[in-house]
Amino acid sequence: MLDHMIKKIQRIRNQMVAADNDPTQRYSLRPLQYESIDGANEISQGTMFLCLALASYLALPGTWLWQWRVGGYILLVIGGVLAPRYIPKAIKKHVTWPRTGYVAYRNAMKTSRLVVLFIVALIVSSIISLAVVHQIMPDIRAVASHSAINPPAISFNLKLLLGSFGLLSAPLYLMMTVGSIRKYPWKWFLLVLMVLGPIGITFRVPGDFLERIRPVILYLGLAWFASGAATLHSYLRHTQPPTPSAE
Amino acid sequence: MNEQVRAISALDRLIHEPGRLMIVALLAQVKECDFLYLLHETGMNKGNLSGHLTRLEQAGYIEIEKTYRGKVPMTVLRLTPAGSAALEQYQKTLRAAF
Repeated sequence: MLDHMIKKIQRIRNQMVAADNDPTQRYSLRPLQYESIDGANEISQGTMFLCLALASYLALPGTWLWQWRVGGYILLVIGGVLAPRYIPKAIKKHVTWPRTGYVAYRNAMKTSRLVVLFIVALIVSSIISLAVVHQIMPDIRAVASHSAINPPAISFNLKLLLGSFGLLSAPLYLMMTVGSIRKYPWKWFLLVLMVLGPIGITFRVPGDFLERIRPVILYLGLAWFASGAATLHSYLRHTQPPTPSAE
Repeated sequence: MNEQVRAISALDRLIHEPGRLMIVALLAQVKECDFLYLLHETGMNKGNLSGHLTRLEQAGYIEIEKTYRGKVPMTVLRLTPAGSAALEQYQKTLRAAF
């Protein structure tokens, strides 16, 4: 029985090694690398964080220029929500496709599988969210019951939650830069800064929950945006502008 | 002659040519792409790439569609089911031979 299992594991391992050494299999990574060649997704993610952070700064109490601030707040929130959808499309259409070509990707998964995956992700994230909210509920009540003039001291649980924002965004960053992180090793350094930055801000910046979350989101936005802008700059430097007779 | 060695002679010669293998392998990973993308990825010149694409189209392995992006002409390329099957068969034969 054990011998049979060992042989089976060895066979699967050999198949994986063979697939890894197969030059035709290596091509499967090319479209993934091409998707992140211009940093469009990082820029859009950074813009979203920056818009939401700036909107939260505009929402600070005060009477100066309140009409402009309300208008700016609404525009920034709308911009933040729409940025991940429209910025990559615009960069691809006006910069990437004319320079290095158009690509449409096929769906890696069937729709039914995507629905199942979405439902599983929804259930898992709901359970985790409920557990976190249950854990920090006393702290949320304390924040809600105090006025803005006399905010409560932030608890360790809330600090921990804020500090983990960078850690939570790290998998998303890795997913979006999986194709370009080998080409740009500085992205590993940025990833470390992305994880450590929010921890440093949370534990060093004085103030209540809202006063600390604003610089954390702003920091993450700047990190994402800088990464995308540097990638786009490098892409523009290494590719030629479009010529009238491309084909 | 050994069966394993003989498998090499069963390779699809149309796909086996390095330039065409690059094209088919790249097209197999995407839904569709344009001429410029293949030019950029393969590093071939326009004449070579065009020649290979014509041969693959004649064999029914790829579809070529002439269209426009705004006012700029664009050539969109797709791998056909026959092309997909041919690449799969080629990979199987190659694995059997080595």
